[in-house]
Amino acid sequence: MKNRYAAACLAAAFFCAPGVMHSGSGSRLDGHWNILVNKSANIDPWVGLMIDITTDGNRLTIVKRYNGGHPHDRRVDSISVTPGKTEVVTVPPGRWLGEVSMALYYGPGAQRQVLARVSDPGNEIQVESRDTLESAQGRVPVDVQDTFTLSPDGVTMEWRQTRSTRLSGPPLVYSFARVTR
Amino acid sequence: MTIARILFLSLLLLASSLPTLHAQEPRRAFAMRLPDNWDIKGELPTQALLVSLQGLANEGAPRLYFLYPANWPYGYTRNLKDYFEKSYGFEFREIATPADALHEFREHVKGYVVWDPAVRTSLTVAFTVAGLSRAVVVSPDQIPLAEREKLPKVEDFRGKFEGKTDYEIYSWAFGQYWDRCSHEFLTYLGGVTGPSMQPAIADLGIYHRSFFTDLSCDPKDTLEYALADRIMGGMKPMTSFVLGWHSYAKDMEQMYITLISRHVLRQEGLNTWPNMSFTTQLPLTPGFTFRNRHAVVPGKKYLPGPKVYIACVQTDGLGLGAWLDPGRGVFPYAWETTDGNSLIHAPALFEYFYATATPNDYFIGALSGPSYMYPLAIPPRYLPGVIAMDRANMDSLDLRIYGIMERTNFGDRYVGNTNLPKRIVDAYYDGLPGAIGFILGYGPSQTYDVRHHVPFLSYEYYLSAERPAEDAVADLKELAVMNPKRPYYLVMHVRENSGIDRVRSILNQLGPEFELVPLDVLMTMAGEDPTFRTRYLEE
Repeated sequence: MKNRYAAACLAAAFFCAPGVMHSGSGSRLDGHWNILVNKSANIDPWVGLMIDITTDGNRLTIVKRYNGGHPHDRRVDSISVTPGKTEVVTVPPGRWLGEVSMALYYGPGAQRQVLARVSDPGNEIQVESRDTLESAQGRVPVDVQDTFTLSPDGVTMEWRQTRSTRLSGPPLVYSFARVTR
Repeated sequence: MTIARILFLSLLLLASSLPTLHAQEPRRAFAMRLPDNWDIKGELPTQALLVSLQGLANEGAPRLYFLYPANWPYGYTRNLKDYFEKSYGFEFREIATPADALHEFREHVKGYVVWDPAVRTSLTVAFTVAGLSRAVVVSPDQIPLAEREKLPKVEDFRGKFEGKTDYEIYSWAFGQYWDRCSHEFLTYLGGVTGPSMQPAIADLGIYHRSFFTDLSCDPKDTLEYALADRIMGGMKPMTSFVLGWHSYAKDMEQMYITLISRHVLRQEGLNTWPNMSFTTQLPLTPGFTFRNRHAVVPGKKYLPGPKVYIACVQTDGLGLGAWLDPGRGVFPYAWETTDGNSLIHAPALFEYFYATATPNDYFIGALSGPSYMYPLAIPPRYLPGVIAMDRANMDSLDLRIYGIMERTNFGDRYVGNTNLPKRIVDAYYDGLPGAIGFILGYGPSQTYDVRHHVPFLSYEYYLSAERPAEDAVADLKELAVMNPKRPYYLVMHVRENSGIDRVRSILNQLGPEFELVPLDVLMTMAGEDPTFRTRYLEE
């Protein structure tokens, strides 16, 4: 309970803080990235994950493409926001992509509150978001912090996620190789 | 008399007739070890010859039994043979070679059909011919073997299907053979694809003179789908069976089961279900009754505390997965049956599982109907009758908890819907009034209800064999955070290929807030103090 309270306070402080926006024309993380499964936290039941990052003017778009191995079993999660500005993104109903083996869902009309920041040199993106999910017992808020960091050589990216609800277990750290820019 | 009552009485009549059908048959039989290779260029020709011979040899009495490789999906063939020896008084004599087997059972064989190793589908069609003509299936290299036994050639597919699509081949076969095949059985020889085939179920298909196929059930494959739809449409709803399994290369499980459910047929087994022409003829041993290991004591109150109550259920039917795991029985585990079919096709198999169950093994009914079906795909006029058939099965097998699965719109763990609308939930409550609980899902679902202290829950977690234990522990703890009220009822589906030791290791790491309980105890507590929110699929 103490940890959850602390996480909630941190998230609240973050949402209240002024955004820090990268002033450049784009992020050095822009491009298509493919997960390195053997160097990443477990993504079961997915077998593949690609992330596309694009910056268009002041707009940052991050698209995650999950692949379950069959053409039918694909899911996409995306945000398109202006860094430094808290925005509300509509999320299509369906199982929560945090872990589809858990009975957690986005209900009808689900929304996600998002604040993204791009670091000044453009080699790191932080995304703070608050999801409202549905569990067996009703609605439950989840604060999520995603950090995307470019390696010094520019060819690999690390995605690190922390959640206010995940209080144990291996760190959720995923490595990606650049496919195209 | 209502339809449900007629069905119930018919089932009772069938069940009561089973023990006497072959009660006087001899108890001598033959056993043979099968090689561990199913490649067209390897041992598949031998396996195809033997499994076709088995379907013919077992006509009228159980005579030929195979010991499948240790890694076979149904891993129990040795254990079941031991049980048949001990409880049914069988004496098995071992046969060493296919030539010996063919010679031994020569009198049951009327000819041979040649399949073309260059066209895999020719083997599937050859199995249809085998059933109709009481012929063994041989590759070109095995023709001398058949001719040594002076068997006439009844069909030769060498070169016949070269360059043809599966649709063309099955269309030809349909025109040629369907009218003479049983319309109560259809065999799907799917499963593994490409250079291999695992046609263990073929003996049962031959035994029943069924049509064999692996036509796609994906509506996007318009030609194959239309033919599959036409074939199933020619079968009698409610009482006809589709044996085997779909082709992993052509469609998805949910497409196959949806089409079967639309025709109100009853899916049975996998393509790998072994020895069924043998086992299907064995009645229950005299005096045997099915007794489930209920943990709930009648009259006792089960009041939950401020805990996360977790119960484990292995689905996918009995015989697959962890039943033979040495750790079974150490802690409470529920096992999903596909109650209706196996009671008809394999009462002896059911007896084996019940006889070898420990006090911690608890059976539950399944799956949506008297086989594996999706309720939203079943035409509404049939649904009450389908559920009524399961009511009789639940009584016969002493089952009180019932499992349901829904994937009609091809939803699964990744995408789409797996939930049920209220009208379907109503149908199960109405149709199974003796149930003490229901579980929906395979992967997690989110349909919940409680009526008169009987909960309708969904699987809260799917434990795959691939998920590392430390991640699974963190997942379960996170679920408990996201369901903060106590008690929280967490029904976990354990995929059949997860070992029991692994499951125990995960459970041991969950901490004192979690309490593992038998499934019927969890259901009873959930009915007393429901903390979940009623939720249905909105139509």
